[in-house]
Amino acid sequence: MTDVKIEIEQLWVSLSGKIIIEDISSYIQEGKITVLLGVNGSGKSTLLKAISNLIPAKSGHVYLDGKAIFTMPTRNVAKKLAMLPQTHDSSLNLTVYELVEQGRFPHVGALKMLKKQDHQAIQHALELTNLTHFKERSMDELSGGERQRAWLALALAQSTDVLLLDEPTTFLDVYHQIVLLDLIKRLNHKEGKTIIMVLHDINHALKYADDVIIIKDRQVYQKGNPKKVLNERTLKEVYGIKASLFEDKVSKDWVCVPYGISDH
Amino acid sequence: MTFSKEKRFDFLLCSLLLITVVVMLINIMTGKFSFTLVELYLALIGEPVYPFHEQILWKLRIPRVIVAALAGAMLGLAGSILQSVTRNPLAEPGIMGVTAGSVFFAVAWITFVPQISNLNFLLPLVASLGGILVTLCVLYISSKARQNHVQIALVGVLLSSIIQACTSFILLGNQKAIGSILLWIIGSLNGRAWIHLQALLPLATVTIILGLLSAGLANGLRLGDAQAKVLGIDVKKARFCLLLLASLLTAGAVSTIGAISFIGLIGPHLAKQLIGEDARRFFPISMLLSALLLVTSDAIAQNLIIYLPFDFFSSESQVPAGAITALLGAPFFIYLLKGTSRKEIRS
Repeated sequence: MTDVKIEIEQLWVSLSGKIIIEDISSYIQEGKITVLLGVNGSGKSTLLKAISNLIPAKSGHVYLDGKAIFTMPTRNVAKKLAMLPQTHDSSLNLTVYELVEQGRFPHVGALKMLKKQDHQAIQHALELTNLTHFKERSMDELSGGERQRAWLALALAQSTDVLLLDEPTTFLDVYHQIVLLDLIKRLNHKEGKTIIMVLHDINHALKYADDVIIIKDRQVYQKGNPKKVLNERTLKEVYGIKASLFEDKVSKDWVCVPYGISDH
Repeated sequence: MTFSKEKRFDFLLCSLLLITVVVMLINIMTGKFSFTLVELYLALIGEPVYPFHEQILWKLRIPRVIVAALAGAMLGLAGSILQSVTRNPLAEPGIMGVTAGSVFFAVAWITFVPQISNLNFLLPLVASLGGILVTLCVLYISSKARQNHVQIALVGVLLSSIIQACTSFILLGNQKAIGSILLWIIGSLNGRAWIHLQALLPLATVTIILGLLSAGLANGLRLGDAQAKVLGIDVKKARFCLLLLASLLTAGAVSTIGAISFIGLIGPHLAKQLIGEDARRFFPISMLLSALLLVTSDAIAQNLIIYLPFDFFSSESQVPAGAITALLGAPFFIYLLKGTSRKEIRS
């Protein structure tokens, strides 16, 4: 059994008076890829944001390596946990290198950020994301896929154990989706990063996740190995769809083909 | 384009400094009375051809041009801070209500307080205080609502127009002083002397240093609230401090030379095109460019009377620099916007 990296304890989150997360207790295993699934508005993105301390919890705790995140200084959290938010300003007039430099903020602080940052974590992040040759290019000249990789490189330059991603594939075409997810898989395998991400595509979850947490009606519906947890019944009850799941002969991956709306 | 950002920055910094010094010299040498280079040199080393050369130079021209450069730099820095923090390329120093507040307090002071000439130095202080007061109101109101960058700008614009209306009311009731008040509203460097510089310098030094030191935080905020938070920045606190700093910079400049328009918008805009948005390079370049623009506008303003044979300019009246910045600035800005939209379509 692997160790628990993050523990969520009786977490309640409300946004403008409305309860979004209701008494969730769960855990994230170290060195694994955990995927959060659920319909729109189920609270999966909110859960991710609450874990990263982006939005305040109403009550409950999140422990990172046994320490309570909500009472930790934010810069200390940022040294251990990086997050790729869902949307970014696309008209940023910074070079890729200038952007990735910002990932060193939690380690050096505002004043030392005035100097050029040349920590090896930056080079490493650029290499991993295959952006070394793009580093002098301006962000507003990049394609959507390159831009998303640059933001990921910023998160990697934070050199954290944990990486959170909020729907990282949303605005990408199929090719760039696979490029990004393969990269995330590599980060998990080679760098040993614990990864938590929100995804919409069930096939992606089946292929890339070690563990899935399915959120339904503000609570955890089910948690476990995707091939076991994601079955016809779950998809019907969580998403309200009819789907068939089978092992693809070519790729040897489990795939899910939705073919209709379930009539209750 | 093959230069790295650092080399490009060094090159821009040096060449802009050089150009600014040259334009400052031109500004000093020309005007109602023009110096030749020899006359300027002799007056500077204390052996003027005529004694009044030294008078004009040291009492009028030199303090005036330094005030222009300093105020321009402050407006440029304020504008670039605001553009980074609000992530709005059209943000300008007046967006937080500072300009309207400063002008209102200055106008009220001129109207309601008996004018004793040795109290003149109080006017900039009163105007600064007014500007800061309005900014604090803007920040307070927007903190009551859910604070985000769009809302702050909106509150600033709304409060500004209320205050501008009040200024108009005072103006209607005080038509005698309308001339001197109008200069305030347009912004002018006429008659700015050492006393103004002395009043401005302490605030300018502190705010400019703090502004340049805040570049690291400003970069974080530029990436968006969520990303800044993830990097460990206390977004609300950092934004409050930076907005207040931008307002102090603006208040200092506006209370000394009046509500000069466009400098704090065009300077940062040009700087962004030249060096990008990394605040570590964006802020200094924006400062220098804005200083250069204001010194240039003032040089044009000083010479306009002499070369334009308009009957309705009495020999006593000078064109305010604010009229030049608006006259040249607005069309130039339209040109810039056209340029960027074309670039966006192409890419």
